[in-house]
Formats: sequence, C-alpha cells, structure tokens
Amino acid sequence: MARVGVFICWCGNNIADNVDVDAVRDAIALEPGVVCSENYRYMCSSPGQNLVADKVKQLKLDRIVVASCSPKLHEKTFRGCIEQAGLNPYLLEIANIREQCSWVHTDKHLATKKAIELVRMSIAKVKRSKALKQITAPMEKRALVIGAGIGGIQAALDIAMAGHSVVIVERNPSIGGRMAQLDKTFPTMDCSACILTPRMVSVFQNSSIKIHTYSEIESVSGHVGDFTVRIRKRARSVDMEKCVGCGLCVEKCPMKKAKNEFNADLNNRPAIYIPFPQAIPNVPVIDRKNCSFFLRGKCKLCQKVCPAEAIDYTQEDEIIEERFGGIVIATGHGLLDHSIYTEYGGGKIKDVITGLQLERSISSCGPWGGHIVRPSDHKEPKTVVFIQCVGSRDEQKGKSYCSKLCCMYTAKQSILIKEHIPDARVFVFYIDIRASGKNYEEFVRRAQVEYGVTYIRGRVSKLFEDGDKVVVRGTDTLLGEPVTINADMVVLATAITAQPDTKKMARKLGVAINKNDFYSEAHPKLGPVESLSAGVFLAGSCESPKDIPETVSSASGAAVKALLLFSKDEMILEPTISSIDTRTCVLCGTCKDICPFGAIDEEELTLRNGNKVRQMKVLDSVCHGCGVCVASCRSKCIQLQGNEGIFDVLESFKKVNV
Amino acid sequence: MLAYYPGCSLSASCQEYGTSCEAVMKKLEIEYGEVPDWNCCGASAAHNYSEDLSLAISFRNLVMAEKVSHDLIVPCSACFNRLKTADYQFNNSEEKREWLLKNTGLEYSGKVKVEHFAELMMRSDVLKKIKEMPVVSLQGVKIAVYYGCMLMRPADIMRFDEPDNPDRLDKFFNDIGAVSVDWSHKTECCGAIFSLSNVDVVYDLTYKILSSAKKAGADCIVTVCPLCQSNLDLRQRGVEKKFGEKIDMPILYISQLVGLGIGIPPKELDLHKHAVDAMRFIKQKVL
Repeated sequence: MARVGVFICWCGNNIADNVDVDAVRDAIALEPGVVCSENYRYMCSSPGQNLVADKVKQLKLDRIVVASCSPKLHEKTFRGCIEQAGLNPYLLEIANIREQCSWVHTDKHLATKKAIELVRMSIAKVKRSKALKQITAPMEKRALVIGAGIGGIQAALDIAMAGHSVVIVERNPSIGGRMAQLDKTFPTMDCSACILTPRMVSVFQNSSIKIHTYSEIESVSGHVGDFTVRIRKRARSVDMEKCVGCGLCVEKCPMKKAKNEFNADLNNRPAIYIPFPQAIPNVPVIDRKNCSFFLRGKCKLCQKVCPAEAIDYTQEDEIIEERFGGIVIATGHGLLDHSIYTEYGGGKIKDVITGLQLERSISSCGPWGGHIVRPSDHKEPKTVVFIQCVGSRDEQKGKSYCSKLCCMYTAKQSILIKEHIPDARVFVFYIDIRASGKNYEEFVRRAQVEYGVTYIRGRVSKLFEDGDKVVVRGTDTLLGEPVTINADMVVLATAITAQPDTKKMARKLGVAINKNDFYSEAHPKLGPVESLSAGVFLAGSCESPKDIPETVSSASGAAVKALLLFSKDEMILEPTISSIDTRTCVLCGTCKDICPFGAIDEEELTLRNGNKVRQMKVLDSVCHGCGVCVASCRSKCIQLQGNEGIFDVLESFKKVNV
Repeated sequence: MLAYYPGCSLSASCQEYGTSCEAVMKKLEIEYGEVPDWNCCGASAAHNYSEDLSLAISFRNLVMAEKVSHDLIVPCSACFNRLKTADYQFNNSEEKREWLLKNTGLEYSGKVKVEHFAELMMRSDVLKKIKEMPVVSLQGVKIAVYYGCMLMRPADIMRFDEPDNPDRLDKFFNDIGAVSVDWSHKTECCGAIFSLSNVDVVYDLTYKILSSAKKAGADCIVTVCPLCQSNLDLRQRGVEKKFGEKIDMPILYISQLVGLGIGIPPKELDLHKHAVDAMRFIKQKVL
C-alpha cells in the first residue's frame, strides 16, 4: 500500500487567492493512501523543500504529489529534493493547480473543487509510478560547427582551446563570412578584415580544428552525444595540396560573366576565382555553372597556365561521414531582396543600392578599388540619401521585426562617405534610431554633429529617375513638411533575414525555426544559445539579427554548452521513455513506422538454444518520450515509463461530480 | 454583345472620349448596347460622403448592365474604379452583399464582369482585329502612356497592373506600332477634381507630369481617363502661364490613338476639339 505525501503550495497569492488551499489540504487528507497533506506559502523555497524532505524521512513516504505551478518550472527542483531525502526522484507527480486552475478561473469555489480533483488525479497516477534509473549513453567529444563566419570561428576556437576536436563545414570557398565583406566596423571604425583575419588564421592553423570549405551538410542523424553527419565536400576542381596560390588562373580565365556574389553582384568575376584577397584557404574554385570547359568542353586555359599543375577537372564531390557529440549552427543571415518595393524602383534603378553594396564599394578590395562611385556612370556622388527600415518594421510587405544593425551601419556608412567625399551632402531618412550598444549612441551623435550628416525623421514615399538624378520624395515629420531631394545615389538599409535555405537546413538538422525562418531558441530569456533539440546550439545571426560583439558572445556561449556535454564521459538521459514488453509484441512494426524520431528498431537476437528471434527495441538515447508508439500499439505492449498511471488518472476523472 | 457605360464626363465636357470609343467599337464591329437608365457612379464625391451610398449607386449600374450583357465596358477610370469596387464588395463580402440586396431591393446575380475600355482593346481577339486592319502607321510616334492613379489602386481590387511601375498599356501600344517612352510620372496624380476646387494644385501636379513627358521625348501623352485628359489638356495653358514655359503637348485618349491607327478620320474622333492642338501633331507625325 502506497504511502503518499501531498504538498500544496500557496505560491504566495498566485494560487491562494483563487483556490482555498486549506480546503484542498483538508479534503486531500481524507484520500485513501494519503499519509500526510500539507500546504505552505512557497513550496519551492528552502523551507518548503525542507518540509517535503523532512516528511519523506519522518513518515517514510514513498510517493509524493506536489500541487503547485507548472512542472516545467519546478519538477526538477522537487525531484532533486526527494532524491536528497533518499527517495527515487521518479516517484513524484506535479499537479498543476496554478496555470491550469487558479490562473484561469475566476470562481474561487469552483476553482477549489477543480484543484481537489486535479490533486486526486495526480495521486491516482503517482501510485502507479515506478522507481526509474537514469540511462547513460557514450559521449562523442567532437563538435561540428556549421558556418565559418566570425560566430563559427569563435565557437570553434573556444571548443578547440578547451581540448576537444572540432570540424567546421563552410559553404563558401573561403571562411570569413559577413565580416570579410565589411570595410569598417562600428563603433570603433576598426578595419574589419584587420580584426577578422588573425582569427581566420588562428582557426586555420589550430591542429584540433579541421575546416571543410566549399562543403555542405548532406544529412544528420543520431542524437545528442552521438550524431552521425554526412558532409559533402564539393569539387573545387583545384588540387588543394598542389596549388601555390599564384592567382594566374584567375587572371587568365576568359569567362568573366559570372556575378560576383562577394561583391553583392556589383561586378562580375571569372569562372575560376578566389572570393577575396585574404581568402582562407587561398585556393581558387571553379564555378562549374559558368566555366567554358564544364559547359561546352572548351578552353582549359587555367590548366595550361597553372605552374603547379593543380587544376583537376576530373575532381568529384566527396561525401564523408563523421560522428559528433554536439553541433553548433552558425550559418549567419541573408538580406531582403528589395525589388518588392516597387516604389523604390523595384531593383531597377542602378543608383539605388543596398547597404551591403555600398560597403563593398567602400572596401578597397571591392569592385571599384575603394572609390565610392555611382554604379551607373562611375562618377563620385555628391548627394547621397540613406533610407532606413527598408523591409524592416513592415508588416504589410516586409518583415515585422527590427533588424537591429541598420541604424548603426547607416551611421557608419554616412561617416565613411563624408570621409571619402568631404563636400558630399548626406541625408538619412529614419523612423527611430536604435543605438543601444556600448558607445553606439555617441557614435550616431558623431555622425550628426561632427560629420554633419542630416537626419530626417520620416519615410520616403517614392524614388524615380530624372535625368541622371534619383529624385527622393519623402517627409520630414518633425517639420511637418514634404521633402524632395535630388540624389546622386540612394542607399537602402534592407532587412536582415534568415538565410534563404534555412527551411531545408532546419529539416536536415531536425531543429525548429520560427515564422521568420530564424532558428528557435530553447527559451527566449534563459536559453538564447540552445536550440530546442538537445545537443544542437545556436551562434550568431542564424538565431536573430546580431552585431559582431553579440555574435561573438553567443558563439562563446554555444561553445560552452557544447563543452558542458563534453565534460562528462557519458550522456545522462531521462528514463521517461518507452519500453516494450516483448512477450506480447506481435512485431507488426507500427511503432517503428510511427515514431517521429526513429527511436524504435527491430533487432535480431540469438537465444541460448541457438534459435534466432526478432523483437522490437526502443533506442534509449533517441526516444523523446512522446508516447505516440504507446497509442499506436495494437497489442498494448508498449508502456511509457513514468506514465503507467495514465489510465488511473482518467478513471479518477470519471468520478468527478461537478 | 457588350454593355457600355459611358459615365457623366463622356456626355459633357469629355465628349471626345465617348465619340472616339464608340467610333472605334463600330469600326472593329464590336456589338454594344448602352446600359439603360444608368446613373452617375459617384466617382470621388460619393465615397467621400458615404461608402455605403457610393457602393449602392454603383451597384445599381451593375444591375442595369446585367439587362444588356454580363460584359460591361467602362471608358472612364474613375467610373471603372467605383463599378469594380461595387462588384468586388458584392462578390467578396457577405455583409456588403446582404446590405446591398436588402437596401436597394434590386436583384443581381453578381455575374457582370467589369472591364475598362483599355482592357477591351487588349483582349486577344480585339487586338488581332486591330492589327489586321489596314493601319495608318503609328511608327515613330513617341507616346508617353499616362496611367493615372484610379485605374490601378487599390491593387487587389483593380487588378489591372502593378501600381508603381505598370507596363501593360505600354506593351499594348508598342504592339500596335507606336513607341512608348520610359518616363517617371506615369502613375502620378493629375489633381483630379481639384481642377474645380483648387486649380493651383492641378497646375503644380500637371506641370510635373507634362515636363517629365517632354523630357522623356514624347510627342504626345495618351490617357485612359477623362479627368486626366482634361487636367492635362484644358489646364495646360494655365500651367504654361504659371511656370512661364511653352509646353505644347497634345493629350490623346487611348480610343483616339487606336482609332487613328485603324484608319478612322481624325475629325470623327473629335481630335479637333482638344484645347491643345492635336491636329498639327497628327498631320506631322501620323498621317
């Protein structure tokens, strides 16, 4: 006969205001099997927990019900508490009489009755609970980092420096990410490449880090502690061992029609190319979709001129398989295509460019050698207009959120224009200025006061061409007047978005994304670097738009989460998973098909008499305890451990007399 | 058989549009019948005063049109806008449909399809006819196609073309031989009814439109709305006076340009009735 202890929490006023906790205590005390029924103001507090622990010991309780807030908050707390008192932690049940009772009802009398029923149901359930032991699985102490921008680089360095091996998979031919595309960084106006390249070199030279560039994730299976990942190393068509990085092939390539993605499509690049001068690895790649040889079988000039005989047209994609204990996603962000804004030219006006395109223009390794010129006629612009929030904060056509970075980079770019072209007139149309980081507000003030950039609070309604000017028609809401500026160049701060292939990637990784395709964090306040999938962590803008310091912080945070895994030799897993009674299993295989995690498999055993027998097996470390198999089993031979009492709960509910 | 809704402007100050539309339809052997007992669509005044009233009076026109045909042709962009809105509301809003049927006491199937005269011209069978006629060559005639605003907005109701940068009419005119120029003010407002209440506004707005067309090298502006035409045409001398510039830009209706192309004599298209001389331009460039 079970000896049940029931502890009812007041939760301050949260429960006690709307549920008569004394009445509940008294009613429950009369339940069969209940040896003690107590209530207390704050059960989760130290004295509260001590009350529970003391009663467990004094009254030799062997089943505990805590009637309180949602188990999501304190189930672990009370499990730990009774474990300390010598009781198996899985002999506990939480009755949620706050979120599911006191907080959602207004009639105290009825709410109290409901609370009593909820506690009765939990008592019925806990009587069936068994003492469960935690399961262990081996931990593969290797990390996979997807993406080699500053986020991926930082995470990889942190994990490697703690003594574990890391593999980085980067889709582009070089590491470096977005920072490599920037000229200067706010608010210090550091040269971006100058602060990035030392880290790039560090990560490249680190013996614990293996980098696969021009590579993609092919598939991911397994679970935390033991992921199996297949990586596709795409064929560069250049032998990385032989190439000396002379660049002759790039110079001589006759096919110069491909769009230069690194320069945000402002100019073209050859079919064989190195994305930027400081690229790591400094080995070119042949873009087969634009190469004369791969399209028509002609040319082969690069092979002819290569002094190291490094060109190899026969190279093929290679798929490698590796195992990892943890994965860090650091895939970065994309940018909104502003051609949906037909009022801004729909992408057709040449001198209306994006912030990234301007950044590439300013960069000395950009399309115009660091000279800021108009794309249409390569003349220096004397009147430049910036429009902030193009696509951000726009529920109708664009994204509803704020992209966070644009106010700062617009201020930065307006300063850079004034530095390059001192007599230029620069205007910024804004809705609000968001400059909340360290030294950010002062930076924007510098642009306005020191550099004389004119900030106009208002939106731009239309851009159109008039001769060689772009006419900007906007409003100055502080003056309450319309404003028309004949600009030489207009720069749009387009919305930061998720990478365009995020949906596909998320499915491969088995990770949740939100409605804007950003990866979902485990908790908006307390879990910003973990995904909802165990063992997969998030770094940088793939989770939400971030500037460089935030990216670096989150990358280190994600790295630490991976290191927490690796600090143990074994994975400890919750035992609240399915278990199959093989005596009554008919091997129909329904559970295997229906399991969303692939956690049930068929295995063949050899009995002592030599006979082989097949049976269904639950993979302990993969099972998430969702219970779908339990519902699907025709023979009713699958049980969800910790949920044996589910039918007793229903029986108890049937007796409710409202 | 098509139902034809001329609207108020075409009966009076903008006769040329009505005359030329009917001349073109006759020449192309398109059978049409004027909507019996049609009433004013209310244009901007009615929906400004009462949305429901404006819907009701446009709705009545749809009911009357149904007596002739389920295909309704409307030359004026403002009338087109109101009639199309009534059609949209009737067919997409349970609430509005009930209200209209109850308060007007009229019966209506909802089946009348509202088309702008320009859309009629762009129908594939009509376009074929136009191209097959022994045309007066429109080659080398540079036109600025002026869409105006009521034709395309709101976009999800009007569904004529993309409101900020349309090219449907440009494509049509290029197809029948004219050369449409790329210019920046093809959808900018002409000032509409401010022509009567505050003509200075119209002067400012039409000056920008006329200058832009001139800068783009157009020989004439082609419109699809009587109010646009009259603002650009009748008020042009006032604009020249206010800004001290000679503009001299003839403003034609789509039906007049098409009519010229299919060989209808200019006088039959009322081209001699414009305020800014259109006959000289036609003699020079077209004939």
